[in-house]
Amino acid sequence: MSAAREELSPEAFGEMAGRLQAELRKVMVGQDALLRDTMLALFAGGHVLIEGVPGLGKTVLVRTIAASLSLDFARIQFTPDLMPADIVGTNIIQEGEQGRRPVYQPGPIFANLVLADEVNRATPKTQSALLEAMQEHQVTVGTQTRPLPEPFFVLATQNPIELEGTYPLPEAQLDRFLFKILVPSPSEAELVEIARRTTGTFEPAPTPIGGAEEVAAMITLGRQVPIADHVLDYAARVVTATHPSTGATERVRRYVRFGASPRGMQSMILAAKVRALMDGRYNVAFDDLQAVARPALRHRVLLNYEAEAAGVDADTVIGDILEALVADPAAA
Amino acid sequence: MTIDSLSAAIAPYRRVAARDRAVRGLLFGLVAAAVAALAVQLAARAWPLERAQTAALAAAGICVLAGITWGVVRRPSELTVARIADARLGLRERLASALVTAPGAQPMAGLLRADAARVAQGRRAADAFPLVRHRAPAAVVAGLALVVGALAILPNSRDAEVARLKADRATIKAVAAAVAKAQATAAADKAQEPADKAAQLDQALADAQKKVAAATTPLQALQELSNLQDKLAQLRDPANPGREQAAAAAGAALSAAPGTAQLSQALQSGNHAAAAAGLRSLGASLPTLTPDQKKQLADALNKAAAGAAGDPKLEKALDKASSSLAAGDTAAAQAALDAAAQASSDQAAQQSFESALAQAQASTEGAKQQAAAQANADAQAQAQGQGQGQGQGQGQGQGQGQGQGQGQGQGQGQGQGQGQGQGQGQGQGQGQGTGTGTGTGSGTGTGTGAGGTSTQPGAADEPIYVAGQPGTGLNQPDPGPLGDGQTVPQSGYREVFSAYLRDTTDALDRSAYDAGSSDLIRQYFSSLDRPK
Repeated sequence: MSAAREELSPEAFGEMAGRLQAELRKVMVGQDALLRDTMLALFAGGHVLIEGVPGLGKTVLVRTIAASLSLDFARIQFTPDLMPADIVGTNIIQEGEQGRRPVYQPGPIFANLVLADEVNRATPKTQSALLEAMQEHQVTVGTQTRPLPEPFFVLATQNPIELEGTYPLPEAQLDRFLFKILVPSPSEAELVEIARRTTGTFEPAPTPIGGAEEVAAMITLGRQVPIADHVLDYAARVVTATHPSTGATERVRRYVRFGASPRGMQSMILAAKVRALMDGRYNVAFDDLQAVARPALRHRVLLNYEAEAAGVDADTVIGDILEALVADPAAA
Repeated sequence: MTIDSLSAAIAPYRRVAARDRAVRGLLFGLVAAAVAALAVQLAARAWPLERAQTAALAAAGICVLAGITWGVVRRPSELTVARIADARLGLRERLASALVTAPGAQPMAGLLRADAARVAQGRRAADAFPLVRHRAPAAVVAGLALVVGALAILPNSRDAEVARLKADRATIKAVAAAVAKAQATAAADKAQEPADKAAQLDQALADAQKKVAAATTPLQALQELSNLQDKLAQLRDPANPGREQAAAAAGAALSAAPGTAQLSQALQSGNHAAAAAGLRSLGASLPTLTPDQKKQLADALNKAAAGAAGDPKLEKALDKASSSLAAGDTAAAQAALDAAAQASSDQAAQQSFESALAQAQASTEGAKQQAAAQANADAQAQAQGQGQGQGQGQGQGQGQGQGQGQGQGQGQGQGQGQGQGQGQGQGQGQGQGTGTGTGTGSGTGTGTGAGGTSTQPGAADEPIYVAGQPGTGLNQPDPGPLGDGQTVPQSGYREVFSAYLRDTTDALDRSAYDAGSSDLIRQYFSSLDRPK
């Protein structure tokens, strides 16, 4: 562990987060939730699944983050014919002085920031190649396991409109994403600003503010934020309430097929800790959990067909739960 | 930032929270008190509750005390205070998180505690526990207090019933005390003979006292007193008046004999102890008498024996003394006079017992009057409360004494009831109740009119009258023997009527009543058909 990781203070964390946000703002127009939640996931050491139509700046966002933090960046365009080896790399036969011998050729996954564009267009086999990388931060090719560079951050995108010829991500893989972020279309004013920034001769470029060491230190610091037992209880109650068997609300009982997994709670808490630090606090508050509940749980709460027919989405269900549960019964 | 600085920052919150909890406890106690008082007030309107106000106050006091105790004892913990302050002041769980994060346990603990202390000190603790939050329970207390106060002030239809219950209890208490006093008086007279009857008297009074004290209504007490009087009547010796008359007649016969003046006077005045002494003295003086004097004395003793027919023992002794003296057997005459003295001594003891009995009866008679009056009032109140169709049977009557059962009387009206005594009455309605016309009479025993059949004294078509108990200080003619299935002596109507009339006339002659009452009594008796 480097000195930078050890010496990072909460104040430095906040300052760095603020500077990163400022750098992102130079390039990105609007999309506050996207920026905030992406930063939360990055500093929480998690991965993000972004759902939105093309052209909303997803690639720009990742590129800008990579540039600002001096991180290695790789973009993988997922297509139906994409093979796992195209992601994790493969052994190739290389001629040398000692004759032919297999040499490992790393895939694009060996980067700090990986943009898995239109991840649902690849086959499940290829999608699953990401599983080990996302969860274990390592890949296994042949019989050899290789660690990925730290920090390792996957930002996957999927298009909610073009569903033909796509392979929906299995629940196990969805669960590996810390957040699922929905990217709305920009407003008219934001469109004007986008046009102004991107159709001229001046192209804003982010300034590097740190490196992988700082990001890793931020991830470590984020985990150190204390969380009180009653706040933890609340997180657990929220996650439990997503299960139809416990049925916190009528919508949950009626529309939810499967509730969130324990990873859902872990995601909420890690993201809430980072949010508290970014807010200049040293403890997790109820509103931190509430703020991250939707992106952390929406892809983990699986709805049934009745919900689809009724036009009920996961955010509505989670919103119901947050409204129904009293954060701190002792203080009520 | 140390633990102490964080605790110091939270300390004001704890103080305010303790105050808040105490106020909350007080208000909860007041709410409970008001509810309890309201319940008591409502119950007092549904049922006759004695000491309803006291009970309401006691319940309210207990509730308030419990509320305050709860508020003081159940003070919120430091963590609870912190959580409440976090929630109400928007501190975003700083205080609670800082409290549960041990300093040094985590790298960020110190920063968190310092931040929490800083934020806590920058806010007013009172804002986290404002008194205004207690508006709702305070309003409830005020509303309930108004309702309770109104109920306490407004008339309660049960008040009369409660007053009656109180009077019932007071009456029962007084009656039990009177019986206890009678028992004490009887027990204090140790000279009572015969001993077995004295013990029976004491036992009867003790039993009655217990039963009366255990009675729940004046009517029950009245019943017990009547039972007591029945027992007391049974303890009376029916032959006693005869013996008294025999002694008086013997005394009169001895008045002319030499040396018997004091003896004669003692016998005539019913001073049997003095009479016994006189007889013994007379026996001892026999040897000193001259033959003429002995002859005169023998004649007088003979006459006295004849006059003492009502007392066989005395008669026999006097007769023996007379005959022995006439035969010149002074020793036998002396022994016979000693036997006569013994008879007088026995009569003296009997007289003492009868006196105690009469005293007990007199004592219980007053108590009985009191119980009867209260039972009467209860019955009237109950009849009034039963609404239309159950009216009152009122009557004015003049009776003598009191009894139980169905009295006789004249009157007009319709009614059904159980009554006591005799009376004239006018009334309408139907009802049940005791006391149709408890008469203010001249107070010898009123017939207890259990109008049963009887084969006892009187003509075939003569009604049977069951004699009651004697009044204070008055002698009652000997009641007849008991009939089949009856527990009280029976007498013929003529006998009873004559006794009543005689006693009443005597009482009127003694001007025991005022002119108005006397006229009413005379009118009553004149209205009765004399038995033919």
